[in-house]
Amino acid sequence: MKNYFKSQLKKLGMLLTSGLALSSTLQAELIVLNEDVELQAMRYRAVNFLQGATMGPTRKESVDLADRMLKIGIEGAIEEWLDEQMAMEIDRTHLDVVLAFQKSMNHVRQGDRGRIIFFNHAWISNAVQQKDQLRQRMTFAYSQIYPASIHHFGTGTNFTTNRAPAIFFDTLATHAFSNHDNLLQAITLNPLMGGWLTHAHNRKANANAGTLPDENYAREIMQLFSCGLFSRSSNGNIIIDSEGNPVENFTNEDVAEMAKIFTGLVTTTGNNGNTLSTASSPRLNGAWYQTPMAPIEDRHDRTRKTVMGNTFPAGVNTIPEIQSAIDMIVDHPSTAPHMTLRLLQRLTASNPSNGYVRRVANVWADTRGNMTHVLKAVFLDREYINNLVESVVVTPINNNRSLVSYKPVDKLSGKVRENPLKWTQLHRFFESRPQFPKANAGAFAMYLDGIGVPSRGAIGYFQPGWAPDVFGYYDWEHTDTLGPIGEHTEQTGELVTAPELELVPTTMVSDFAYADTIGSRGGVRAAGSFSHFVNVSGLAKAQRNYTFRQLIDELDTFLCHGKMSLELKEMIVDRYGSVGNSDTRLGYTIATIMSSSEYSVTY
Amino acid sequence: MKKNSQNRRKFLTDCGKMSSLPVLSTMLNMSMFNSIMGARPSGSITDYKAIIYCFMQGGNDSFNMLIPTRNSEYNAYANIRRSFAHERKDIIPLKSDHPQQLGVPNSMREVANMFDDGDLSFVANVGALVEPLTISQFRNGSRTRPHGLFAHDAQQRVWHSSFGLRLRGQEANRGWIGRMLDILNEGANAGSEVNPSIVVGGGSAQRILRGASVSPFSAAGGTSQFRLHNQNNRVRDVVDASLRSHQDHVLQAHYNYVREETIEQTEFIRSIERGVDFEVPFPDDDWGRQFEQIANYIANRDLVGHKRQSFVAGRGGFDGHRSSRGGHSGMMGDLSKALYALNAALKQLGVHDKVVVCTGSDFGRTLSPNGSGTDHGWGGNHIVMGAVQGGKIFGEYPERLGGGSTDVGRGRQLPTTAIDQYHATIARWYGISASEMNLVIPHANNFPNNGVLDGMFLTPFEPNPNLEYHLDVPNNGVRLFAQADSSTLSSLPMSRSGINSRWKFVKHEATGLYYIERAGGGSSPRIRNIGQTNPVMQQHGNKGGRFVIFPNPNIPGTFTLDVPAAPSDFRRLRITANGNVSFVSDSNAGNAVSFKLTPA
Repeated sequence: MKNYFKSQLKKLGMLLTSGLALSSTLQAELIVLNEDVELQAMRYRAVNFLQGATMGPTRKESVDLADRMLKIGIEGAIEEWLDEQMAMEIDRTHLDVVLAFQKSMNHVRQGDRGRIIFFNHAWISNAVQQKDQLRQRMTFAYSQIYPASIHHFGTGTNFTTNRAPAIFFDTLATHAFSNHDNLLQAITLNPLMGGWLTHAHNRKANANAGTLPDENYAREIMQLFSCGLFSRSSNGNIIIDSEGNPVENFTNEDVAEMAKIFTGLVTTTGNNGNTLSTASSPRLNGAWYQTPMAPIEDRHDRTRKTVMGNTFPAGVNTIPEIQSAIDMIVDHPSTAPHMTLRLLQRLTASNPSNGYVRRVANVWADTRGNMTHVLKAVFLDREYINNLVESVVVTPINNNRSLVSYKPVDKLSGKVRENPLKWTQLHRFFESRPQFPKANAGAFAMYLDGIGVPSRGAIGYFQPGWAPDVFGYYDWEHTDTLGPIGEHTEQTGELVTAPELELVPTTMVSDFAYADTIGSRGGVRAAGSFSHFVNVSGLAKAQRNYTFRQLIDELDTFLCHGKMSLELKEMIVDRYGSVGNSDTRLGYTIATIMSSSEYSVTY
Repeated sequence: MKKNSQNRRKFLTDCGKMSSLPVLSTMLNMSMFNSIMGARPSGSITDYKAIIYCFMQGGNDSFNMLIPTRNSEYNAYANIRRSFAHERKDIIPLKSDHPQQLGVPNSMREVANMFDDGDLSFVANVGALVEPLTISQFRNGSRTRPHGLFAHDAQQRVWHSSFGLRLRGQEANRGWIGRMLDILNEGANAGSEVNPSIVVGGGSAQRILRGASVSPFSAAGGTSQFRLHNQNNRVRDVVDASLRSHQDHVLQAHYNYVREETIEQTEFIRSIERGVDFEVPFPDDDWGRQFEQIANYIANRDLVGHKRQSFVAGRGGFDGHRSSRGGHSGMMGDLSKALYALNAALKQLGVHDKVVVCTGSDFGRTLSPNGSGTDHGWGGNHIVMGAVQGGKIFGEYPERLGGGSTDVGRGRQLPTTAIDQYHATIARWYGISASEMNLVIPHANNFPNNGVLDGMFLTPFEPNPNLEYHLDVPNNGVRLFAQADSSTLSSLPMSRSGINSRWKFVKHEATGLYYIERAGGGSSPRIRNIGQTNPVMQQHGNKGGRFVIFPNPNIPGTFTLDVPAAPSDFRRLRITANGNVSFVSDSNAGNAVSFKLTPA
């Protein structure tokens, strides 16, 4: 039996008997007064839910939701919370933050003023500070599902280029609770997307020049943003034909026909986007990014098209024809299960059950992907709620006290959290305000790495807005042939998906870098010069009277919803307990939690 | 390094799974498997070989990398490529005996030189196929087509896994090199001769190296940043300990597994990172840095006793929907300069003939532009360097670009060589036998010769000392002949098969070269080269005349018989059409020096 557990029980006047064989099944433990058991259980559940629906809950948000769950039940509290969140207006846009920067750049090193890093700051500032957390989380989810990226911007950019991703993210935020067709319409006309997937300034075929329309966006809006490459039934499974082959949704001829529809759009500028760029290639800088693309009808292919068996009559203008094409793909039977899978992977589960997918996909199909309904289907699903309820285990210790522990209901439930969420939750929990780096090169480098960490080998960063390619930051069907995942597949035949794990070998570099930063600087009290330097003084104040062990329990509850293992807690107490400086001690502890699977995986 | 106790069990399970697939023959049963394994005793790998796989993510516009130069073919190219067509003056012609004249853009000066010097070759029009396919079969669907054509992720998967009908599932998540390492590891002692493979870039292309028993070590971006991990022992110890808890939730357990593996792998990789001074500096760019890292690991291979190494490098930026001829040419120039440095490094390390450098990419691109770039295509051209026959174009370059018999629309080329053939050829060289090939490349047997292309590698002829051979020059219809106790050599028609036209090979152990002797014996049984035109027959004790049997790149399946110790003007045995036997210069090629060695 572990020392830590022993000492806990000793304090309670309990003698440990060999009959109390908890440790084998014990995931985590917190011993509380019986009257607090339900509250503690609800706190785990509230944190668990909020880790899927926000950028990481503050302590207050978790406590409030747990109280509400106690009062009106789990489902009622979640539905109320969702309704409140969806009713919130956008308070501050990403563009607001970028523009504020432009007004006062005194503290930014001259040489850095033209860099595209101000958007990074806008993103994390809003993610951490805005109250409309469900919208922020949806924006983050969308940015991975529909990733337009500034990754391809080369040199020669200037400050105003920061507006492009800001406006794209604002577009995503605007449509956080909108329909799939409205979202697709908006991102199709967004100039960053137009530049990224190259349908900006795409023209009808020109026989003299020997050119045909660009197929890029036509393919990806079908393959990635709607129906997908392969036909799926409503439970998400790929449909196999009589010869054992997956049924493909479209041919390259369909793509070529669809490409004709996405011709004619050009970048615009002016107050209302009323100035159209007539250049042959897009104007992809500064002001030209600020307003939606608009058509030059001369450049639009007005011939008759047939896509996936649907006919588009000749002579139709650009925008109405694009709307018809979007209607077609939104209503494609594979779209709801395909996009449901993608959304569930971003919010709650890497390996959702067929039933979970089907129930959400049915709502998606019935509402054309209306997020106000879809999100309720995601978070109020009986399987999801059951998971929240069943994973908390209460074991009586004596007449007064019980052990409240957390164990997974299903060994494939939940997901690995995207690395940026680990940082945003730390900021939010400690009420730390992201700071833009001061004028020093080291800080600047850290800022670029920041929450962004190398992904897909050395290419790109997991920095929101900086996806390395249209497939995003990772392979969304990523799995492993070895290790626990490989063994599970071998034993059960079930394929296990864990997209975020593709990045773990590289994200751990960043975790350790930060572990080191937080630890060695010890200056957790000082607001550091690093943007992602988490100032933990907020917590230190609120929990001033806590013992170190109580503090660990607190972090376990609010950062790990009770998943921290006994072994980890014990190690932390053993190894850091003797460190004299309380901030350094806390710094080490947070560094360790950042690296832990308890904080990195949620289920 | 890796968990080899599990290898065999995993591999056996997988063979069982694969054999249930309809596309595979019933040959894949366990007795077959055991006989394969039986043929690979521990420590059986003695020579050193390595593969460096360079993946160009996004789909390289490779018909602008290998370009037709002859008038009519260039004109067809220019006509469909329009603004993407290189001007003739900007194309460097390659010195090749290929029936079509081909060239590279002038940004690839180094590649052109390496081609002309015999260090490098091309493989033309390679793409996903699961069986040979004509354009009409493609159109009418009468033959199996690969899944997910023209889509990045699907086509990358086919390149990685060489399993065109499996885009999902464990088989699709393993790479062809990974499966090859599974097999070689089984035979190698505890895997240390073969493992590990190392990925230095290329993102998801690391899948190439994933097997049932092996996964690649990642050294992308270098490992210096991992040193931060070691700076605070107190934190490191706690983190290390925490990695071993929580085994009952699969994702959480796997998270810990990946992190623990990464720490272990990083420490391993750093153990073979010793600085090496390369005479030709590597460019300080994506390819250059990755190639230098790889050259470094190759240089230090003996620190860990590696006999088989495999590496994946890669870079993105090839998805040229918005691109230009000049931009692409610049990227090709980067590759060219980095390959040049790598080529020099491999020579400096003395492993140029032991390492294959090869390229892969999602697909070729449409030849007709989209107004500002090019779209997704199918077949594309690739570079092979190092241990391959240099100065060659393998496969079939399309006879006409745009509207030809391989154009499935907008100049997308129906591949004439399957990715599986390209890989199978390298796999055979790496040590995979014909009977093992479908374990590595499941559809390989849909293609001739287990998918192995002729001529890319010159495998030395290993004569059986117990057999007698006819030494024929088939194109001249003649056969080497020597009467008993005569001092002269002559020839006979190939219809004659008496004892005087049969030969034995006797290996000279010290040099590995062969004496060629009359099967019928006699007082002068041994062919000798005395540094003159005429060969003579002499007795056993005579030391001159040790032959190298050199595979003939010009006529596959034939060999030249050379005496390396002789002056180069009189080194190579020849039988002319009228039957004269003589020694000629070793620059002599063609029919008269092309011997076919047939067991008599």
